[in-house]
Amino acid sequence: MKTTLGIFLWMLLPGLVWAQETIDASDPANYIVGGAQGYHFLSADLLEVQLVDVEPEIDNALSFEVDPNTLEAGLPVFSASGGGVNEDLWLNITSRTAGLEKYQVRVYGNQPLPPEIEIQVQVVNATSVGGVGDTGTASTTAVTLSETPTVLISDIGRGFTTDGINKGFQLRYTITNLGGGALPVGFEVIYDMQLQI
Amino acid sequence: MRIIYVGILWFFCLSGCYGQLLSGSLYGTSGPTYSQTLGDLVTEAGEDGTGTAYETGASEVMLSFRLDPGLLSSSAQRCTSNVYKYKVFIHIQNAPEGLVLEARTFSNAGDRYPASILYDVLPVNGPRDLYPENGGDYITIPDDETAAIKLFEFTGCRENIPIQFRISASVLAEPGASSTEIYYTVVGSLN
Repeated sequence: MKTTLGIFLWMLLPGLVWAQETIDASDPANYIVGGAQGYHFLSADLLEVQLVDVEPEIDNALSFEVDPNTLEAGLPVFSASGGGVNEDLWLNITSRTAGLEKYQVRVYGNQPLPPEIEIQVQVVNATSVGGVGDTGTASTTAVTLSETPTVLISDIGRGFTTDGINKGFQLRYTITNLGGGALPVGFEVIYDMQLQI
Repeated sequence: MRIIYVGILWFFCLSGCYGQLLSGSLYGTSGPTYSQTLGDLVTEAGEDGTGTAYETGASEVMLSFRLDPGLLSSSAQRCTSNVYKYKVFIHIQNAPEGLVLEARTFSNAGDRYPASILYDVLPVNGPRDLYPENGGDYITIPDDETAAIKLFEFTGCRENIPIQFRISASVLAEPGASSTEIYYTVVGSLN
């Protein structure tokens, strides 16, 4: 049986162990007789890049629908515990920064909210789920959305979270809508990246 | 007539083929340049930049290898009467983290030097051709001088061998200007 296995492995070896030919180019003995060595430079100039988006990408609009099963006379239509929570969205980040520069992700609304509506945004995980490099650290404290940018993630250097849902930073939206009103037409939640000072 | 050619070749072989390898020199044009543009940049947040690559012109870099002239013979004369085999290995040094550099050349690329010699009538050491490694597809260049990778091999002296590069950069690579040394190591053999 062992002999059979040996023969079988021997048959597989040519396909499995083939590798491209290499040489120790640091040893002049390998090329000094009849050979040569020379070099020139690749001159490269790379750009900085900062990208942030909210996944899922095709449609990342949120709607908070009234769940009739949770309606109770005397309680608000929406509350933190009444179906006004969403954790479907994820922030993805790609960043190439210069030197020791760090960037931060901020969140804000593009217009004021009606007084009876409050939206809180919270990053669920302090560090990126997946990714490579310096993708920053999130504050897991919920922030109240307004037109004034609020920092969610700091100390982003050179790194990327990988792309898609369940990658990067999970967002939790909590809406409190005591009057059951609607958001203004065209209301958007905006995320941007800014140089950290 | 063929017998005469063989006789002449035999004479040349006595003087060159079985001796020690004669020294040669590698000549090259200046190295490739890459200035990243917006079109080369990653566009999807979360992704790395290595999925977008820049390709240089097919002959942006040209290499030549000729035997050195002797006291009484020119380089061309030496290349005429001494036909050796060569393997060319490539590696890089001091590359920024995350920079991926690939190279390739093409089947029988470049020019024989001299263009035509008596040896070509009866190429006892193989035709003076060039054979790219990996079928002419790109090969990732290692950033390790102890493991320079074979890029191509050729027989006889050869000029104007084009090298094409493909460059991609992870976002982990530092932005701005950088210089990476591209080394070519030529290893000769009698046959």
